[in-house]
Order: sequence, then C-alpha cells, then structure tokens
Amino acid sequence: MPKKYHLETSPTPARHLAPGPSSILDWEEGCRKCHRCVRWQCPYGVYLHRDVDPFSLADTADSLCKHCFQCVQSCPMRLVSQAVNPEYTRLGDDYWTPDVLSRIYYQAETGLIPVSGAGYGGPFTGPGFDAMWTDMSEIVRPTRDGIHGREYISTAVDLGRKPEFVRIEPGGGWSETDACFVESPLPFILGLPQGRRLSPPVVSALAGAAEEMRAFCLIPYKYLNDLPKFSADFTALHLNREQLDLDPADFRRFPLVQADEADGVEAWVKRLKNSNPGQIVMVRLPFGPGVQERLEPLIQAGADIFHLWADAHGRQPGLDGPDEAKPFLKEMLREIHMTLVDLGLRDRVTLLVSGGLALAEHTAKAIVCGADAVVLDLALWAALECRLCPDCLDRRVCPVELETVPLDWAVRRLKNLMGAWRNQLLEVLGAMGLREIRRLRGEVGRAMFFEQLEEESFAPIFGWRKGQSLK
Amino acid sequence: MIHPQVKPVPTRYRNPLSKFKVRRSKACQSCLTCVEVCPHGVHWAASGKPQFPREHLCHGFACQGQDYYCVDRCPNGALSVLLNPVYELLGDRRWTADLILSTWHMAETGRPPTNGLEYKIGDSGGGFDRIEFVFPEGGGLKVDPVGVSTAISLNRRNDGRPRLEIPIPVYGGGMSYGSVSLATMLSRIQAFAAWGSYCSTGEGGFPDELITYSDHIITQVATGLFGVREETIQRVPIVEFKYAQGAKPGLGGHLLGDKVTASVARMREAVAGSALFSPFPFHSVYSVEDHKKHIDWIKQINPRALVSVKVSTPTDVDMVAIGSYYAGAHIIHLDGSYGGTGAAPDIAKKNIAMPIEYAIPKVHRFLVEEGVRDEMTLIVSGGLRTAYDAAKAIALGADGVVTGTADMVALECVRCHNCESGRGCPRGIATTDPQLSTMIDRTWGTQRIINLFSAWREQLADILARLGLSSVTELVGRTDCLRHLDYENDLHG
Repeated sequence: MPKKYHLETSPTPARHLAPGPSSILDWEEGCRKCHRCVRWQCPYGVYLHRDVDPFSLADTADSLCKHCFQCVQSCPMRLVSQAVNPEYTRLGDDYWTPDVLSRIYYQAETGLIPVSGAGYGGPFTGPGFDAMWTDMSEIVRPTRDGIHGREYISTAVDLGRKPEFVRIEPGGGWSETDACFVESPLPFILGLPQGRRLSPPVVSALAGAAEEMRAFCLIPYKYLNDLPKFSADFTALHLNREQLDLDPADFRRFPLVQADEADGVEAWVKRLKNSNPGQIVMVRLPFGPGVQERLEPLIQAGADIFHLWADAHGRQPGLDGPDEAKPFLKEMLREIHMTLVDLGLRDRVTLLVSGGLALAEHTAKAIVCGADAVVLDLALWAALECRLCPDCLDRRVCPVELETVPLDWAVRRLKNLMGAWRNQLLEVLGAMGLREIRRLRGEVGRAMFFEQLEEESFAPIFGWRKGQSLK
Repeated sequence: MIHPQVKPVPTRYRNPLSKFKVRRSKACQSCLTCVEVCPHGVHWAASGKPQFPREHLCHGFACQGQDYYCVDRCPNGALSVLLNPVYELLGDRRWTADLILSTWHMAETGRPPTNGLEYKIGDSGGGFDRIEFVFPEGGGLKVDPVGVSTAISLNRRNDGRPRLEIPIPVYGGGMSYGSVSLATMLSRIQAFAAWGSYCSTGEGGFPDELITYSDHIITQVATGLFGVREETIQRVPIVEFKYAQGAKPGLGGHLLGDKVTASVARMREAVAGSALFSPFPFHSVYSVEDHKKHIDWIKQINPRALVSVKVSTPTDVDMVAIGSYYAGAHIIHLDGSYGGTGAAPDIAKKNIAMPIEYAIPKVHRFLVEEGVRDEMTLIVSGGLRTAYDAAKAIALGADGVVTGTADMVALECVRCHNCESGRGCPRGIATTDPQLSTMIDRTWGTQRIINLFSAWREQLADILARLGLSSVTELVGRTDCLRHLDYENDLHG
C-alpha cells in the first residue's frame, strides 16, 4: 500500500489576543455580593480566567465568552449585560469579515476544522462563492468507503505540462511527449499578497512551511539572499518585470519560475525554456478582458502554468466602483477554463488562481470552476494573525508585529491552517464521492449554482427574476 | 381529537431576554404611574414598590406618542427605554433575535407575539424569507378557522398498513440520546405524543424511559446502527431510515468523545469517552435494489410499521425520491442543507447540497409527473423555523414538515452553536453532562413544546382560513398562493 500523505498539525497559541464578538459589561454598583455570584457559575469558567491582556488592554473574558447569556439572565440585580464589541466589527472588511478572520485564527491556532452545533446561520446565498453549493452523492458511492476511508482521498495536484500522449517508436519502444511537471501533495501554493508589507521572517516562514509540507511557495527574487535557509526544491521563484533580463542559468535550481505578464514575456519564456529545459514556467496575469487572447500565444511560447490573479475580494483588478459591479473570479475562471477546453489546450497547461480565497470551501469551488490549484496569500497572512489593516503599507507599527514572527511559530501556524483546509477538502470530496482532487477540476456537475437552482425550482412557479426578464 | 391544553410556562431564568431595556433611575418616587398606564403589564409593583420591569413584554418605541407611554408619563422623568444591547448579539441571519424571542413567546404563552416581534420570517435574504403568501383580495377570513383541518395522513399507499393520521402536519425529527439529554428527548416525545403526532429517536438507541411512549415514537435506523435491535423496531409505528442529514450530507454522524458518557455508551453498545462515527453511506446499500432490501427487512420484522426514508438534497434528489417510492417507502423525508445538527463541520453546513426551498418543488413536480405523488407522503425539514415556513413548504409541494431546532428554541436554546464542545450545551438542552442536564425539567419542557405547536396550529389554521381552504391537504403544491419578492410573479408576462 502506498505511503499516505500526512500533514502534521500542532496547537500554536496566538501571540496577540484577537477581539471577540462581544464585550461583557458588568457593573459593581448595586451589587448585592451574593454568596453564589452568577459570574462564578459560568459553565465555561470565563470569569475565573478573566484578565486584562497586557498588550491590547482588552478584557480576556470577551474572547473566551461563548454567548450563552446565562450570566445576563441570572444576575438578580440585572448587573451583567453584553454588547457588540466594536473592536471585533472593525476587523477586516466586507469580504474578509470578522467571522472569516476569526475562523482563520482558530484554524491556525489549533489545526482543527471548525465544527459547531446547530444549523447554518448565515445568509441564504450571497455574492461570489456564496452563490454556489457543492453536491453530494446520496446512495450510490462506489468511490469511497465511509468516514474511515478518508485517508484514501488524494489532494495531490500536478503543476506544469503533463504528457499528452505516448509515442510508439518504430522499433517497438515508446516515449512520452515533452512534459515537465511536479506533483504537489496539496492544491495550495503559498504566495504573497499584493499591497502588504513583506519581510524576510514572513517569507522564510512560507518557505519553511512549504518545505515541511512538501508543497511549493512563491519567493520574490529580491528575498533570495535574505533567507537564512530554504530549500530550492520547493520554491517557485518570482521575477518582476525588471528582472526578466537576468541570466536564466542562475536559477536552474528552482523547479518553477514565475514572471508577470509584460511586453516581451514570450521572448523571456522561450529564452528560459532554451536555457533550462526542465524548468516549469509560470506566467502571472491579471483577470481581465484581454486574457483570453493571450493564452494561446503564451502556450506556443512554452508557458506551462498560468497564474491568474484577482483582487483581494476575488474581483477583476483595476476597476473602479463597488464589488458587485465587477466580474467575480468564479465566472471569469469558468470562461477561461472553457476557452482552453475549446482550444484543445486545457491539458497542456496548469491553471492557478489567487485573490479572495479566504475559506477552505473557496479552494474547492475555484477548482470546480476550472482551476487546478490555488495560490494563497492573505489567508496565510491571517494565519500569522494579520488583522488586515486597510493602511498596511503606510502604517508605522504592525499591531501583530508581523516583521518579528518567530520562524518556528509561524511555520506551525501555516501548517495548521493548511492542515485544517486540507481536511475540509477531504470532507467535501468525500461527500461528492471523489477520490482525488484532480478529478474535481472543472467538474461543474458536482456543484450547484444559485442561478441554475433558482431557474429550475422557482422560475416555473414565480416567472422571471426581477431585472432579468429580457434575458 | 382534542388538542392539548395550553398552559403558561415562563422562562426558567430569572431575567427573560428582551428586545428592549427599561431603565428606572434614582429619580423614581414610587408613584406607580407607570404601573397604572402600561397596558402590556411591563411595570408592576409589590408592597408599593415598583419592581424590575417585565421587559420581555415591552413594546418599546411603538408606544412613543401614545398616552400610555411610560417614559413620557413618568412625572419624575425616571424612565427610559432603549434597545437591549444583548438583543444585537442574539441569533443570526436565519434565526434572527426576533425569531428566537417570538418562539420563546409562543412556548411561554401558546400564542404568536403581539408586541411587534417579527415571527414569520428571518433575515437570510432568500428562500422562505423572500417568499410570502398572497391572500385573496379584500382580506379577512374566507372560512371559519375553527373548522379548518390541519391533519395529514402519513400512509397514502393503501397497502393494508395503518394510515396514521396526525392532527398537525408536523412531527419531531431525530435527535439522538447522546446529542441531547434524556429530559430534552422526553420533553419532545411527550409533547408530540400529547399532540397525537410522532417524534424520532435519532440514531442513539431507544432508552427504556421512552417505552411508555412507543406508540408515538419513530425509531431511526442509520448507518452506525447504534442501538438498533429487533425489539426496538417492533415496538414502534414508524421506522425511519436515515441515509443522510441535511446539515452534513455525505459525511455521516460524529458524536464527540466528551458526550459519550457511560449511559450513552451503554445505549450505543460502545466505549465511554471515545468518539463515535456513523459512517456514510450504508455499506449495504449501493442501489435502489439494495435499498428495497432494507425496507423489506423492516416490513418483515414489523408488519404494522410505516417506513420513512430520510435523505438530504443533492442535485438528483428527485431520482432518490422516486427510488424510495419503488422500494416501498411510505414517507420520503427530505432534509435540506441548512438543517440542524448537534455537531457538523461548518464547511458542510454551509456548502453541501441544496437548501430545502429548491428541493421541495423539484421533488413534488417529479413525483406528480411520474404519477405517484398521491401514494407518497412528502415530508420536509432543514431550516424550517416558523409556522409560516411550514405553510410555505406545504404550498411548495410538501405534505408536512419535521422540526428539530424550533423545539430546541422552545426549550430556550439561544443558538450559540456550542452544542458540541466540552460538556455540551451550557443551557442544559443538548448535553449529557450529569450536572448540566438537570437544568431542564421535562414537565416544563413538554408544555413549552406543546405551547409552541399550539401557536403554530393557530397560525396554520389562520393562513388556511384566509386562503379559503378547509384543510391543509388542499394547500399542497398550491404555488399560486405564493409570491417571491425577487420575481415578477407573472407566469404569462
């Protein structure tokens, strides 16, 4: 039996207290000093462990409280109350909501998948990824053997150009068409967010986590000399436009090299391929109207991987206006995937996407929409406790001191998050009856889309959806 | 049938949670004007002294401008009314604070609230929360609600087995011994028995304390086969096969080790303290033929039992439903993806399978097209919170509904989502912790649930009467009585 991939997680407490959703308000004035104060009856012992966090000066009870409201409902003088914690509501933004960030913090700390009781409490549907559901197979499930079979589900993906067919030699032997790819046991590539401060400790942590997970991370060229130790074997080197003239022979040791879309990038791809024939070449392009036309020429030049990026909310970059008015990653990705299918080139290249991937489910959904794997960025920052301050680049002080993260701590936090995400992928893959994530790529049949469900179930009853009657 | 009696059952906590806070400052002179003017019984006095206001009865700012507004009438300006900050923390988009408070009100009084709480819909922005009834022009009651029937039959196959009529189109969904306490389980079962309906045991065995109520119990056969024995199958009128659960379709059950106490372990024939998994799927069922074999097995062991098949809502849920018909099931029970659970991965609760609102018309239509709709009882669950949700589900094509979370809320669940952690529910509902589970008195719990469904029945009868229907069975599939706020609602335009 082949050895199974295992991602080790280990509890790694936060360095900074994250704000909880509520603040406990308990007044002393009028207190009767009951013999058995309701606060000491808390089933979670919140008041017994209560302290002032020396760093943020926040009440630690606010982060420990689980909102059962027993203290509120039991104090005979009604002196205990709770209110929404404004510090909590200020976390993140509309997309990276306080809830999303809290989930990431939890997973990075524990390595566990979020489990809770009672049904889903969120909106019926929403923009972007919230307008699709993954399917499950009810009874006939030949691919999986129950919950205990989870270790047989593979999350491995191939990055690069795979052999398309086998050539039979006249003499009876055979050879493969030219191929160059690497296998990653995880469909996640550790990347770097745009518009955030980078620092050698954080980049080192990504490199360290990638090596320990045997996955890949993107490292910008300029950090190569700042990193105390890293393994080139798990590195995708990122070059910016000014670095395209560098001698390709200098970075032969990296399995993958990425450059940004630019004039002359095709020439660079060719030069790299000539110099380093086994190297996998990635081109990073922003989602946008011109991308479709660029795919074929870049493939002809020799590009093996397209890394398509959206903004931090998964929207087309470079547009003004509210998010709802901008195209979302899932539609843009489906279109590009289908274009490549129509061109007969889909299996020649690997599609990676980044931007707006904030929850494990987003990975599964991006893959359903046509990606082979995803490049993560802000989620990794959040694993290191990033609060997503809007003014990161201008700020003097990082509230969670990202520039001084201890390497060992950061590597464990990243591994915990990836371990938790991987386990969640196993949950959805298992429910779908899929035994490997490669088979999920472009499998829209294993997903249900809001528009499609509304049309099937509601259109025969209620007619046209408002605003869509002309469609 | 005579419906069970409503009796007032107040909260078990000293301070009811409320939407509004009424503050009385030190300026109060105990003149008791507030006690005289408040028509809602918020202000009251004992020994000539005003007591803590009964804030849960307060109508809040709706009183502004009325001559009985206590804040304006107080001669000393001692009173103020404000939104309770706790109210803003209570509930979520599906179960809003208003829905939780109004369910508590119904459990307490047996009547829908009159203090302005929104008790019909939540704030999820889709599905039931965007669908409403279209009542005939002119409004008012078209028939007398007293004569309206809310009864449905659970066996429509004419196969010689009992018809089993229930007076309300509601029965209790599976909640296992282990996931909830025995007192919670008995509260539900006694309440449904009082209503002449049924309640499922879930997959956790059949504790002896339940035997008295066997005639009102549905016992569950699920993939872990926990506590399934020949005698438990034989003593009940309905046996439920659970293929999947809406909150975690395709994942199977998971009872965390902490909740496997000695008594839970004994019931499930397992080891205390070790987590228990129900696998997915039934390893003996990989086809409709296998499925039929299962149903035949139950029918053979218990010749009077009806068989219900509980499934979740994948794309091909209509095919699953027709398969169950051909396998011989009496009830097809669809559990939608936003349904309740004692513990499930959040990724599953949110993302896997479709919400029940989509599945109902899809399955109803398909069974009609296949010509078997009249022989099947279509029961739905998964995120139904109110009497209005139930009525909408029926108008979309279901015969009846199954509840779970609503019963928990009647027992004063606040939906803090911590049923699974450590000792379980801090409010003593979904726990097997010996200390926490004493927090529920089963007489109290039973009456709370009886009251809730009394209020539901009243609302259902009112909806039917306003639509001019004399029986809930006439409402099935009457989508013409509904309107979706995001649609043009004009099929011919």
